[in-house]
Amino acid sequence: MKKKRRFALYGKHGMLLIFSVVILLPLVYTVCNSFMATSEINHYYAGINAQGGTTAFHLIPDQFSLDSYYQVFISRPDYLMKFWVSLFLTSAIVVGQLVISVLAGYALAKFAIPFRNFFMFAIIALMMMPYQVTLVSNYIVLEKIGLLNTYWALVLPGIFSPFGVFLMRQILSTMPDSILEAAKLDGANQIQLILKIVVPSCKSGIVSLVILSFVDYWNMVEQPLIYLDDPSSYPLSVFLAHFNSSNLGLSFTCGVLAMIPVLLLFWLFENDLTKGIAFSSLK
Amino acid sequence: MKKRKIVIRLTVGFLILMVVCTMLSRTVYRLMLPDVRVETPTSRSLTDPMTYSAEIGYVNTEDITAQAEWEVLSVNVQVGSEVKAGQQLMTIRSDEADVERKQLVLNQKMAQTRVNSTAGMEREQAQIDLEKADLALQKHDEIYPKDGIVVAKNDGIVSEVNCKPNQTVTGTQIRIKTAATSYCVTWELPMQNVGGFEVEDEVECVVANSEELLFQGSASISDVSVPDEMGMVTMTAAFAAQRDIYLSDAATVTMTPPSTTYETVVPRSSLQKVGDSDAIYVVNTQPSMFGDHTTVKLTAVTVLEQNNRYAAVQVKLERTDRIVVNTSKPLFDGADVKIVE
Repeated sequence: MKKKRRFALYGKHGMLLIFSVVILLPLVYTVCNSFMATSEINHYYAGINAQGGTTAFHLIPDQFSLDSYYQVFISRPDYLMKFWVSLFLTSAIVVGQLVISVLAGYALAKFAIPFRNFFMFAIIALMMMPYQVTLVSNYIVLEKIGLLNTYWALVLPGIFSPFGVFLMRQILSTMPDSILEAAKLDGANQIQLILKIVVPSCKSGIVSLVILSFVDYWNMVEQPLIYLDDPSSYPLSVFLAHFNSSNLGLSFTCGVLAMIPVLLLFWLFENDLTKGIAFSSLK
Repeated sequence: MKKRKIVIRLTVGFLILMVVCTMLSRTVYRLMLPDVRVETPTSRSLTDPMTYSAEIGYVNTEDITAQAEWEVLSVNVQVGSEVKAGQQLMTIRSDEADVERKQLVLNQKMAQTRVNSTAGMEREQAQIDLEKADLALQKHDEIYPKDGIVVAKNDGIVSEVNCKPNQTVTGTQIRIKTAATSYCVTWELPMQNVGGFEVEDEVECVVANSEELLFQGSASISDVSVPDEMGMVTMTAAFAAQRDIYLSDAATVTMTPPSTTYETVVPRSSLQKVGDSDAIYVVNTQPSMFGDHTTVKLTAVTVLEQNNRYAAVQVKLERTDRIVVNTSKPLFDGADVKIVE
């Protein structure tokens, strides 16, 4: 029996190891290749664009080089500018989304609003739709209100996220009404209730929302391409999607640059994220 | 808790590193950018005006000139007097002219007598001599005042009187301005600069004395001389002036050769050869989150005409567009640049 358990354990760990390798390999590959010299990249990946061409699997650099890092971090400010554009846009969207989602989720969870169920149905329906479905209608609306080719065109549609409202509503609906009523009896108004009771009590949900929406908008590609005409105002995600074989080294390095904020965010809030998702019954 | 502190420190460190790298790379990049000088396109003609100093003269004046010695008996007008055609200006006596006229009258009478007293071939010859004598007397009377009375031939205003009674004079004695256009300017210029200018074309003329501007306006070319042995041409242009102008005043003439005024003219130094065709770099400044981003765009042009400094081009440009006329490094389409004043 013990032997059987041990085999099951080995099997479990083996499976986990395989999945880990599959998941981590692209990251490790990107990081390792970012330290290759341009000549080495050209040598191993020359056939990447050729018809029927093959590329070598080359993980460890033959010669360690910081040439790509020099190009990205020192030589030209373009890549770092894209990084800041991405950070600015994502931060603005996440902060805005947080405010709207908490308020809307609170209202839907704790107030007897007429047609509340209909609103929830509409929000779930919107959430289920792929983003591309609303892209054209968003474009028309943004054009009518004159926000095309501005960063508002990316920030405003991002702020009003049905997923955030749904998540916060789910979390807040599990909060006992008695806590809020007790606070009301103590003389708290609605703002105090939100800031001092609601927000602290659903901290893990808020963190989940922050991380999920940060990752979502950090990697956005379609929206900037559709709503912005000027390529110089594109964020890093679009910039990465447009790399070609002539500068693969920069592509690997910018990939590392784009990876770091998300990794740091996950690392910082990983416990809250799992708690928040569990709390919201989304698991 | 310890892990969270480490991650926060790492995050802050990463952001600080990003800020430092961004500032450093921007500074380094800006230092390495090509310095460019820019100008805006203009609408103008490609011919440059030429300016010459000129001498002032009089035109449309009637000069009373003593061809021989005149003894002035009386002067009936003074400077500023208005005169009518046929009005007596002065009386003179000229012995030389009287003697000459008497001789001519005598010649005429002798020819007339021969015509009356002869026949055939001789009569025909006498007839010719009579016609010659008539012509000579008529010419004399045109030059010398009849009976010593000098009259004005045109209406006008007396501008100069150079004689007094009891003087014996030769040369111009009385000058009458007969119309508003009373001045001319004469200047010399190399033959190659005459260009397309011809009689009746307009030039810009400025006349001033040491104290004030007396005239500024257009003058109409009235004469273009043949080139002399040095290849210089003398041109004369007349102009109307409301104020009195004297020969000692300073005059300048500006000639703007006729040319088409082009919609878009750029400095010639901005033209770039791209294969067989021409192009210019147009500066494009885009505001971005981190300040203005200035790049150049290579724009193909068709050169219509050019001179030493400018080129007229066919291209769609706004008046506010800036064109690179000078660069410290070679440029390419889309290159980032730094504009220097």
